[in-house]
Amino acid sequence: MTESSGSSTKQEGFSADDDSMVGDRLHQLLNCTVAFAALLTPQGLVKDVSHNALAVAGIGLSDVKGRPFWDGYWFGHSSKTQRMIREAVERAAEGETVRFDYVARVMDDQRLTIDFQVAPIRAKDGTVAEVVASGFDVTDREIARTRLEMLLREQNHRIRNLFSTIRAIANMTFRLSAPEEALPRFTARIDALAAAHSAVENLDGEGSLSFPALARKVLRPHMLRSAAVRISGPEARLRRDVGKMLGLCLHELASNAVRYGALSGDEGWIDVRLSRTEAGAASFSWVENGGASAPTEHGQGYGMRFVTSSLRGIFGAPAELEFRPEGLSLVVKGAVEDIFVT
Amino acid sequence: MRVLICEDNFIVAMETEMHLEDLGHESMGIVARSSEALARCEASAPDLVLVDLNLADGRTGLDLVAKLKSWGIPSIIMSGETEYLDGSEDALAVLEKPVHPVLLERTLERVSQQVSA
Repeated sequence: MTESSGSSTKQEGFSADDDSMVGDRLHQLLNCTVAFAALLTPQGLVKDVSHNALAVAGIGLSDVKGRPFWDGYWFGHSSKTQRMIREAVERAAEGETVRFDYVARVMDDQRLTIDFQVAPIRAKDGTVAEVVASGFDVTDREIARTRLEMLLREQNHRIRNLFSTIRAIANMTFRLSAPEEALPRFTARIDALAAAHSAVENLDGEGSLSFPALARKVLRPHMLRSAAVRISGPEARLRRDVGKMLGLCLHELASNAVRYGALSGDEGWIDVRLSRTEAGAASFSWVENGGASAPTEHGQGYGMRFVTSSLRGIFGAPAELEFRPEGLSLVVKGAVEDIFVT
Repeated sequence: MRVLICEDNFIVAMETEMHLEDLGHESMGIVARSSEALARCEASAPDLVLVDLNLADGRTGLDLVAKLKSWGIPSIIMSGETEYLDGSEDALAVLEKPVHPVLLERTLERVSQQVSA
């Protein structure tokens, strides 16, 4: 290498000869890189392999030396991979550099994704004297890419579901409201959906997925008078779909309280609570206090039908409703794993 | 037709129910879980079940559709995740959400003919 590292070899790359010192240096070189590497004859027979490539497969140099590279342990799981490697070595023997990703077999029949390259080493006369195969383990990159694709697909589903929800809210609100009430009701529902969305989807804020955070966001317009709404619940993370539906329910309950219940005057207040027990039970309650009148229309409208049916869907059991003079009392019970991320 | 709706987003289910009734069909109600859908069908078989893939008891929609088929009850899949389907599912039709009302109407007409044939 000392003599042959002139200007001509810089263009052509590494020059090999039979000098044993050069061979030894090549061997050291293979073992000093982070990449997996193998030195082959132009016919594809193995001359040398880096320690890391042997170790990762759990084999020794004698298992592969002098044999076709593509018959090695790394490719034995797939005749297609063997063919790809063989063709790549043949092209490299013709002077071409070939690069692609493939899946290698390693110890214990595990798999690694390898960013692989085969390249020719030319002799002084320009003919291909040897072929170097090298590869990087890019398994982590592949896993990260797959995970990202999955997240993007999930995000896409959520956006589609959001479109469906908005469309349904528009249809139901305009169908079932008096014309002058439809638009403000629609926008209030979209505001509630947006509040629930930001509470449930925002992963940055501490405890942003908890019931108290969700309730504060959705009920904020009703909390201008302090003590009008008292929220309690664990800081545990809500399941995402549950959070959104529960958010919409809180909005409908609050709207009804403003029209008929505890929030229709200046004196009333609401205790809203989500609790869970050690035994695995979860319970949601909305208890109005200090309301002025006994609301009878409460159970009739679209809002209350939405609330009772959604809660039934979430908790898997019907809600118990009581229309008392001081306002509505609603309790529904279910299983912890249906409500919280466990 | 008498139609059962299996969907865990209740507002979307209510909209679907409204469309069904506009088109002259009868809603047998809305359920959020596969288990509930099967219990309802056992009590009284509907002519058709509309099934979302992702329900309150998990991703159970496909299994529900297969079970319904084995009971001789036809179904239509309505989902925002239709790209996972390969055409081998046991439903009479697949509609991608949000479902356009005209598409729902056409599909119901076709299914109605198949069911009565």
